[in-house]
Amino acid sequence: MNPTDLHATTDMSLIALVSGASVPVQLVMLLLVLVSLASWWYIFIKVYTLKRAEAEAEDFEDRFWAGGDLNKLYEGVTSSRHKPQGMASLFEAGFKEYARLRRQGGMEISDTMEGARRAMRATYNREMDELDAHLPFLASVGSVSPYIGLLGTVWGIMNAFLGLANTAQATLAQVAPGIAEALIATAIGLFAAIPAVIAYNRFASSVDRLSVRYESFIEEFTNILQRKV
Amino acid sequence: MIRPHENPVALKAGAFSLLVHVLLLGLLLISFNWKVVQPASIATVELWSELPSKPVVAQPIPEPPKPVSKPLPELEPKPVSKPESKADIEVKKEPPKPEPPKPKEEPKKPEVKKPVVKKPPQDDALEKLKQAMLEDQPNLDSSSAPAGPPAMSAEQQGEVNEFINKIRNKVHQNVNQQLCGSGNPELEFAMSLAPTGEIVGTPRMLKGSGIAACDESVERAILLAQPLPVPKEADLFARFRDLKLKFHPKGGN
Repeated sequence: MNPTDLHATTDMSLIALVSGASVPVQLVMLLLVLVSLASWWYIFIKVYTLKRAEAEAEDFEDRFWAGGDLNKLYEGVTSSRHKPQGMASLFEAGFKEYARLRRQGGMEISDTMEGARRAMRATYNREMDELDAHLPFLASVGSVSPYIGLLGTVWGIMNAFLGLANTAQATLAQVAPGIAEALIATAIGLFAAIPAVIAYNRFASSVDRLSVRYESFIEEFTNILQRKV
Repeated sequence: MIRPHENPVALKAGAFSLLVHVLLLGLLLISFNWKVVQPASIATVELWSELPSKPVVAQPIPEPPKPVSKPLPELEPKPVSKPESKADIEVKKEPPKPEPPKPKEEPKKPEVKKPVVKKPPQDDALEKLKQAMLEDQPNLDSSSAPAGPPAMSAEQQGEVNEFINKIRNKVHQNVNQQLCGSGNPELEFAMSLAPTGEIVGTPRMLKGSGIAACDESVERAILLAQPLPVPKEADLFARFRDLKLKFHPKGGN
């Protein structure tokens, strides 16, 4: 007697599990899949933009500290096709304001310096806003999506056990598929949350380092402008 | 949603995001065994290639007269046995008439016994008939009460003993004899066997050795010895359906 003859194989595929789940659990799964897609999208976007911002800061610092005429540097920054970004935009804003105030004449040095500094501050805030973009979303996904997944799981398990109440003889085989399909929700939630948390922490530290770099550049550039006066 | 400076990388990032999800889905599909094997049913069915005895349920009423009327005409004592047995049946039939299924069983036994009592010096043809009927009988009653040894021919008894010895030997290989002390106690186990030689349920101990470890060891040995060697013939197997096995852990019967 072949033992396999006594058994029937049932295909418990992922699709069958998902389609067999109740509507709230399916909604939770759909939401989590969308959230996961969006968070990975933002993760990749941030990876590229932060990498580029770091490369640009590196590049600009090299050019800036290489010495040479600030006017020439300003020409080079503004003449490029793209709008200057990152550190270059700080330099552009500060130098433009400084040059304008100098041309106006009849102002105290401290006022000129203060004006240039304010212009750089404003640009710095704009830059920081760009760098911080999407990080709150990643933080929310990282903290909330496990709970959403858990909600789906609890709901699905509740369903499985309620269905069990109708049968006289409860076997594990009757609850197991329900629990398996409910647990998929938690799995998706965790899959969305874990990369989001890791990415958030990594990006937050990158942004912090960039902001420190920007701030110290502002201070150093202010000093240079003051010396020029 | 998307900042202007992010536009150039947005498409690439979206593609990577999709790729990550597709990869994970693929991993999920590959790493899990989504095919689930479930036992179709718990009920076990015994398949018999032939009926163990003459159909009892199918033709309850025409059966009793047949063995009497059919083989007997070929024999000499036809006139003697027929009326007598018939008279017997009629006499016996009358009291239990209100219950029709009973007479089917009852008239049979008297028929078997009658020739033995009345005509001890019968010829061997009748002896053979008696033998055949006795052989049939245990199978008919096997479900309700296991038939006694007298209903078997010496040949069958020999075969049964041979199989019992085989079972003993197989069990013996698995017994840890050191657990049974220095003596050689006799244990008796009752068990129900399936035709495949597997034990249905668990063996019950009828007589222990007095040493709990020894009893357990023998019980484990019996379970380990599955499938037990049992005869393929349905008639012979009927004696193994409810087997009482006497067992000496150190060998010997």
